[in-house]
Amino acid sequence: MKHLDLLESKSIYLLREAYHLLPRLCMLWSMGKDSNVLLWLTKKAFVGRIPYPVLHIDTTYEFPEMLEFRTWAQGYYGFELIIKINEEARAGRGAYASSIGYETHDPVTVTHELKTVALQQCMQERSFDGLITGIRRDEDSTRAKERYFSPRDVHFKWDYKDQPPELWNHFSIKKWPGGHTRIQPLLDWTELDIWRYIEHENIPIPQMYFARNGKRYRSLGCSPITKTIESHASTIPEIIEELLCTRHSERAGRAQDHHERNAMQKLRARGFL
Amino acid sequence: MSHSSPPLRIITVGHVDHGKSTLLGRLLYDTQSLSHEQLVSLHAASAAEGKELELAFVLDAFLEEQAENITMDITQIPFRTAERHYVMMDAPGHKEFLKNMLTGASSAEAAILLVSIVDGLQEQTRRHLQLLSLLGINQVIVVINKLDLIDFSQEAFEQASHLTQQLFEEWSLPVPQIIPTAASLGENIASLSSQMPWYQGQTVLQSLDALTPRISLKTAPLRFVIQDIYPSGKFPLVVGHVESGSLSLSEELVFWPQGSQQRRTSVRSIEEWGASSSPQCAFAGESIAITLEDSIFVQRGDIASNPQELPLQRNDLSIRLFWLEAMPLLMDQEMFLQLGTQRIPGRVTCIENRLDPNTMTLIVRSPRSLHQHEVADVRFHVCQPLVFDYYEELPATGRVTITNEKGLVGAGIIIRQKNESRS
Ligand SMILES: Nc1nc2c(ncn2[C@@H]2O[C@H](COP(=O)(O)OP(=O)(O)OP(=O)(O)O)[C@@H](O)[C@H]2O)c(=O)[nH]1
Repeated sequence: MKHLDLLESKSIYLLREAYHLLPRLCMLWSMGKDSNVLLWLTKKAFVGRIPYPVLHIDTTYEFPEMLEFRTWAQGYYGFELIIKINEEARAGRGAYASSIGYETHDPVTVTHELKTVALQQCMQERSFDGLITGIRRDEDSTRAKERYFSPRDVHFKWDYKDQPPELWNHFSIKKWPGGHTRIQPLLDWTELDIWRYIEHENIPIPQMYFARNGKRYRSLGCSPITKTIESHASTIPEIIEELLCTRHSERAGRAQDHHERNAMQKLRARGFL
Repeated sequence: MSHSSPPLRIITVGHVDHGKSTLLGRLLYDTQSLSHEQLVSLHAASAAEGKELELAFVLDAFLEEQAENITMDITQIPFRTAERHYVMMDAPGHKEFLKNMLTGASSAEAAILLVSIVDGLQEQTRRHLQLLSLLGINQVIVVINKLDLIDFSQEAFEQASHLTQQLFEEWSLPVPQIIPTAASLGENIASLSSQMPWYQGQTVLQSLDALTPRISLKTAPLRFVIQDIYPSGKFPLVVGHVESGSLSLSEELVFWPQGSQQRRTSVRSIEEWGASSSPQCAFAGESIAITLEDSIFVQRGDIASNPQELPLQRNDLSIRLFWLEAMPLLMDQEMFLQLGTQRIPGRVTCIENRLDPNTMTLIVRSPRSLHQHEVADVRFHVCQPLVFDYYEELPATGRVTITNEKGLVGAGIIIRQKNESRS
């Protein structure tokens, strides 16, 4: 079997297992390239249907082009879209003494409050017990240690010191009050695989990944802390060519990852993707 | 280089501290596979722990791992050579993390077994080798590491390789290739060592490129594992995974358990969303959706075969079982046996013998219990017939896991009892 076919097959298997094992499932969608591959794989797994709600955690620092894509894609695919903002944190109400934002806080704090906590609020409001994410092992050294089915407690804690064994496509679901299971069907994919698949399948993605005036976004996050890279890659084959030669990491342009030693481990242990 | 074949999945195993993470770190470092950012954080982490350059930190990413210089959980890293793609998996060598090692090894096609020349063959060296043999991983490269600590002595290396070879022979494993290295210094990792002019064999990198990928299961008997049935008008979609073999349009399928006349029908269509033309056949490894000609009863857990090459179905099985859980396995406790998508309640009725991981020989006949990390042959009774194949005939439908309220607690392979025939 070919490499991409095998990756696709495994992801489809995982999505179908998730759908069977977890009655209240939702899927995260950031409008980025990996998220759009997830949507595509969902269509394949359920032969044209998207049988669970799609969740966008809106930090209010989104690029306008990404919001445009959000509206377009919702019409194109026709899924149930949930948009969640941690309103209290942005407004400085309730548990928050002051407004949380990049203007006043460090990127690790903002990421935690506007992404992780917002996700927590939404999971609780809708009592979801399964969350499909688009993380990949090659993105970050702690993601390299993830499982396909990963249990999180009510506080979203990742118990990375005691992860459940996974063998031969057998997954056991931990049932605990308020906790959930993360399903991570793209773990085995690399950034190159994602691009080759997008090319092969002709999957719609935002235009910001393609170079304009010598710059492009390689990874997309919140606008104040996401940097462009120097690039002339304006087509997918050119992006693939660029990736084959680069010596830089994909998430080099994402400030929260590099805030301090093992910033990602600390963020992720507390529930960040 | 072709990017179209799947990566070869390799796991490093061996006793704690023998240098598994260092070897992989060195391999990535010497082949310029690390990104600029990975190098920056490698240097920063090494400095923070008061070290010059600790290559193991490329893999051991957690602060806890770096502080104690141990691996806690499997790390999977993509790696490519001029020859092909790999996924390198770094297993922990500590006994406490054996379940994590098993998680990685269950998907590996080949292994690198590390032995420190100073410590020699240790408990986890043997346990890991035992698990590799249980999992049917018979391509093993042995690396005898830390030769710098004994002045690169050829004599010491030959002695150590002799003992290793003996161990492989005792367990009837194919005689492995053995490479002397100093992983932290990069000797014989990506290039031949000038410190060991007496060694003219392959480097670790060359020996990886010489491994052979597993053969395709396309021509094996068909085993189509059913995951679910999705409603879809008159013809519901039967979705699942082709574990082995192939199926094609209008071919007759036999559904198990039972496999009776009422459970036979043919493939009406193979459905694929977005495909320009609908597929005519499907092969081992594919996740598919099909519709059937007749509306027969099919449910999750079923396995479909073709009418010629049938699976077995039984209530009592012999399993060579590895027990993962801290609470020992006791006879007659209720648990679930899983194979494919089957999940059937049952219990161990007899623990026939327990194997000693040091010698792979019987230590206890008919023990009452099985403790964590022990391997034994057990008899298992399931309350409905299990559909299976013997592991030696069709591995994908010959391996099982066991779960109870604690999660996944055991893993094993279905073996033939001495007096068991195929019928
Ligand atoms: N002198 C010497 N030290 C080495 C060599 N290879 C590794 N080490 C050191 O041995 C120690 C353990 O190495 P690791 O690579 O972390 O060992 P490991 O087998 O991955 O350990 P676990 O994953 O915890 O089982 C580290 O301090 C390494 O620097 C070698 O060839 N020579």
